[in-house]
Amino acid sequence: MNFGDIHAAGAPILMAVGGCVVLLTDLASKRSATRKFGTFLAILFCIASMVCSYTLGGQLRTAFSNGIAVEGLVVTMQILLAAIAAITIVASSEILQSFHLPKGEYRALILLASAGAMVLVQSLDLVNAFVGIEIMSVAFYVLAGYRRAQAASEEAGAKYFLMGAFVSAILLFGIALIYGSVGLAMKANGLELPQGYSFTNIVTISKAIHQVPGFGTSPLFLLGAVMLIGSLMFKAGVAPFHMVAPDVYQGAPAPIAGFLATTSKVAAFTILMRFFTILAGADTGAAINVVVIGLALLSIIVGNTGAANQKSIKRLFGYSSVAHGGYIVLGLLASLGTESQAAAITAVTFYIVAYAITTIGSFAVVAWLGKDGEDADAISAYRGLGKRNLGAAITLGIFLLSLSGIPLTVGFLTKLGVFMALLSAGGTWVAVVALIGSAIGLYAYLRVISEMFFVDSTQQETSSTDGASKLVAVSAATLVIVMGVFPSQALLPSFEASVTAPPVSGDEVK
Amino acid sequence: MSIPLNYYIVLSMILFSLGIAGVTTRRNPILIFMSIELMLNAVNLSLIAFGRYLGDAGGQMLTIFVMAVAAAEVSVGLGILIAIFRTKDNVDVDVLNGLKG
Repeated sequence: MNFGDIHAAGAPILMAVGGCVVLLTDLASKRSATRKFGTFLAILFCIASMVCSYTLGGQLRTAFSNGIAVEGLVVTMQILLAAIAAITIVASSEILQSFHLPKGEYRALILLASAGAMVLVQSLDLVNAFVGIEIMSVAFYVLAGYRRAQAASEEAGAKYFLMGAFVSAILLFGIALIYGSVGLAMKANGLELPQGYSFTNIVTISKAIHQVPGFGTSPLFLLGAVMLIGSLMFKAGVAPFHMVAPDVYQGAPAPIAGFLATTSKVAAFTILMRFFTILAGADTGAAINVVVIGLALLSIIVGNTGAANQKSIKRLFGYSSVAHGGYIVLGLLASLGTESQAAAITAVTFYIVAYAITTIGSFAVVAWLGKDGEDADAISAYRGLGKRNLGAAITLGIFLLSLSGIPLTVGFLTKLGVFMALLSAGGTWVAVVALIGSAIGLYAYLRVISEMFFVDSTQQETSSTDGASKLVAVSAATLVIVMGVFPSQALLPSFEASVTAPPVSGDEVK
Repeated sequence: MSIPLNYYIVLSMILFSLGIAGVTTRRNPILIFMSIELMLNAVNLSLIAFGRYLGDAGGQMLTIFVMAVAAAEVSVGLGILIAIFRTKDNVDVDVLNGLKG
């Protein structure tokens, strides 16, 4: 271990240290005095973490006995995760006040969950990935049930916890089977373990897949890989493991729901992307392809039909997150083809970033319109909103259009990118089914828009005081439009540059 | 004469399946959680068996991580369940039915 290693792992270390510092500061000082200072301290650590990631640059470097690897994609995702954490802390300061919830623990939990997510995105060894996912999940269980006095939040926490722990066990069994199958195959074929790598390292797995004939189709490995992929998909809220997601998003306070929806997706899909780069071009039979196509299409259909006719807007966003998970999985599917891989990785990265912005913004609107310490959850509360609060109605309208993939919003470009990658990978019928799913989703989103603008209501003027949520919602809506209208000028080039760093392959260890 | 690797793996798979059966059929969250612990220990058994057979310390190392993480999960999980018990006087998963739609 040396300074370079610590620097490479600096972003999650800073977040974890930040979590402890924020917690202890809160403990040591009087409650009323720490409100502003604690927020300031937490934001400071988020920014330090972003700077640390940024200084790593785009080149590939490994650290801690090849346990972690950092390249452009990881840096992008870590900066995104730190930004999500900072925005959530800012956006929820007022809502926590009105719910009478403790703030010190809340900030610490957000920082610790982000630290876990960052460990997950940079891990090259499955052991690290497991530890990262658990740091993230345990903080998530507490956050989902954070509003203790409210039955819905409690229930969300308990459901999330029981399902999450169950899925963690399946993830572990998958890792154990991969560990055993890789070890046995290398031993049987007289292959040496690459110097400085362990059997659970993705590089070692890649070597086994590409150099041991028939390994990719061996039942032990396939069972392990399917368990690993399936449980990571659960963490990202993809059908049919989605049952918990709408419940959790409805039960948790709005800013927390936004945090859970985005951080889990960013982290789980980034590590899946890395796992899929070693499966690309490998002979794994049809099993993994069939599983991935099935998960993607099921999520798109279930998510979009579930979103239609919802009475709760947070639940609608929950189902929407399931559907968007499906589109991201379609991108991952395209990354399994060797030719479409680069385009698919760019598309998926862009999709994840855009989804994060849109979702954080949508939940911020829900918090913004809340009153009397309650989120504006019922869709009937949005009836005639265009007349009462035009700004909020337009902001929410932009997010809904982006989620449904209407041109001039970023949601259109991201969907387009995924579909283009999918078509070049030869998945025409898959793309057609996914488009049908999008059409169903369009109904769900447009229904809310028509409630807002074309239905009159006798409801009273909502005068909200939540300035922080308003700020977050409006800036996110601006970003959605700017990224949608000027994609090349806004953010696309930096994504293309950041993913040109070579994916970790089996070649470099020979 | 040592016990072959297959025996350990089959035993571990049987224990893991029993754990899954417990999670899906039990109503009490504490019993569900015990079944999850059974699944984790099944994984530990297979990890140690693989590690021993391969002459690699990685399996045992991961086992220690699993035990530490399981302990952390228990503490958080029991906290959540106790919070529910305070408001509902009953922790069966049947009463967790407020969220639907």
